[in-house]
Amino acid sequence: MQYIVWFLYVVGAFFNFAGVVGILRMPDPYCKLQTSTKNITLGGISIMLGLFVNEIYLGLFPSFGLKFLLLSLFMLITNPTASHVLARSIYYAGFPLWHKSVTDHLKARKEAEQRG
Amino acid sequence: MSAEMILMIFLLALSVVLLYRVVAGPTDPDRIIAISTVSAIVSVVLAVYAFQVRRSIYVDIALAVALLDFIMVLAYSRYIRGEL
Repeated sequence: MQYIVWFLYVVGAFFNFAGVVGILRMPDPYCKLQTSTKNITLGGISIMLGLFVNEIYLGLFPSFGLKFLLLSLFMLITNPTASHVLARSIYYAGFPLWHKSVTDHLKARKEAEQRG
Repeated sequence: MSAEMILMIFLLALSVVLLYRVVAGPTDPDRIIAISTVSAIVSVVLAVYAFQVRRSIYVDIALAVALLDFIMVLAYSRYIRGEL
């Protein structure tokens, strides 16, 4: 049981580290949004699951753990929503993609909307 | 030093490193993404701290931080499209 807790902590710390490296190194805002989503969903939620399992392991009623699960459910709903809205609005506001990007499926739709 | 303490110090060090992208981001969405990730990490750190000191108020503060993060991103998205 203790090893499960440590495994969840290590997974959370690793994904947080990977997300931060991605935000520091990625070339344009769209790639940064993609790594930031991984950071929150896998990093934060696995750490909170680890806290939940740890509280059961310590023999307590998981009153904190249930709140952590509610908090992670809230993050699981709001974070992809916010990322999607932000990506779409900065695309429509005219921020360019990276010059080595290969596909742009939204371009035709944006031009059709601009033509009326 | 317990495992939760090491985890908190590691996550706070990560968020301090991330403040570099907030200061030196080339465009505004980079700064917004970095600030959003910083507040997510801070909310996780607050949850771990609440577990460590057995005080339930910090979980509520973590929830408030996550909610403010969401509202900030939505407000910026509306602002940059000229709808605010």
